Amino acid sequence: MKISTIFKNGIIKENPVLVQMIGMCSVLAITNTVENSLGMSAAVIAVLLLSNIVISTIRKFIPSKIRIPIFIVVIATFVTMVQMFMNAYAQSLYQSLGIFIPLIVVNCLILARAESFASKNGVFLSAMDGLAMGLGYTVAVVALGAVREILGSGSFLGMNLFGENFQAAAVFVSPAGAFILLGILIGIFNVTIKNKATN
Amino acid sequence: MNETIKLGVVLLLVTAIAGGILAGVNSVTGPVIAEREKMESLSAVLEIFPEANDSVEYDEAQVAEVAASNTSIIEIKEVLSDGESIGYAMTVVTGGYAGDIRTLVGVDSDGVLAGIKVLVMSETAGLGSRIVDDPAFAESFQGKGAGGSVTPSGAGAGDDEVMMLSGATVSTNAVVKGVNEALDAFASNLSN
Repeated sequence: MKISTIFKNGIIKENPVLVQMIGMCSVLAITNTVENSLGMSAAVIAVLLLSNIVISTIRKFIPSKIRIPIFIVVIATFVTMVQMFMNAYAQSLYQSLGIFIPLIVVNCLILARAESFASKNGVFLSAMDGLAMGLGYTVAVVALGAVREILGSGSFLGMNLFGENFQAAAVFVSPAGAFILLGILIGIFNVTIKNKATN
Repeated sequence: MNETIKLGVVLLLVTAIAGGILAGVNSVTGPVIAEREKMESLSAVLEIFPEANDSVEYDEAQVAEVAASNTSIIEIKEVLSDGESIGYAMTVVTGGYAGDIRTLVGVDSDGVLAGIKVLVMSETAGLGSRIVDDPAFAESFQGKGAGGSVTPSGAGAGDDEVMMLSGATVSTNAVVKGVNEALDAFASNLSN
């Protein structure tokens, strides 16, 4: 398998958020600002990359009957590590992401990559797959976070864009606005980038 | 049978390794987190005692002993500056108009109020919420309490008088009740 195919799959053809639509809970919850989106993406990339590497390394020793519990233990270990480091060195991010950091353990995106890719491929390809899927996740949540923050708070990365008279549409900060924008984003993605890529 | 044991052993190995790695990470991040939490819990105290740089937390038994007759008090910290005791920061919880009000009360070593800070409350916006929103309310407590208690009255200009928020009698009284319990606990058990 070619590396370019892996990245094309991860970011465009099988984008975890916009095409596979998995792990939606955290996507809707944490994309209210660009900063939160970037923080969550970094955590997801770290966990995906590390768990894919470890799982593909030990894939030949894992009895298939207990592979799922072992995947979960590996994923939970990395999530806990990320959580500890974030709590120690990135406190404000840790607080604004809150419960959604430990919930990365049950994000089906990570388990899906472990099961469908890392347990069948070598270490290098699995690492690339983790990176590609993580980037696909990043592209989607940062785009969503940017639109939500600009429309909902009138700012970008915390910087005020429109001055004091701008009346922000608070609905876009709430999950309801996230649903609406996510639908529009998926629609735009499908008719433009994805269709061009598959045809 | 053999296979069951093998599966169990493999799972045990994987979880044991994972546990070991996490213990290692925890030993690196644990002290950093503990230090930061200490600074956070001290930050409210610092607003009342700006010169504080350490505090000694009383455990549950000690709090129960000191606050035997002042049951609103839930936490007591002895505030230290360069190792010297400069007063006490007590967290009190009293019933307000809408739910509990949690207030941090600073009593200096002379039994005078160093300051108060309402930490948590859910009082009516615009009325009871002025116990937080109106800085003059908390300021009116500073330096009062030498006589052992404070009473809410008008703007709170007189000796041991604090500001009475009109339209928020219940909220004012709730804060004052907690403050007076802290003053009483200091006078009866903490002053030397």
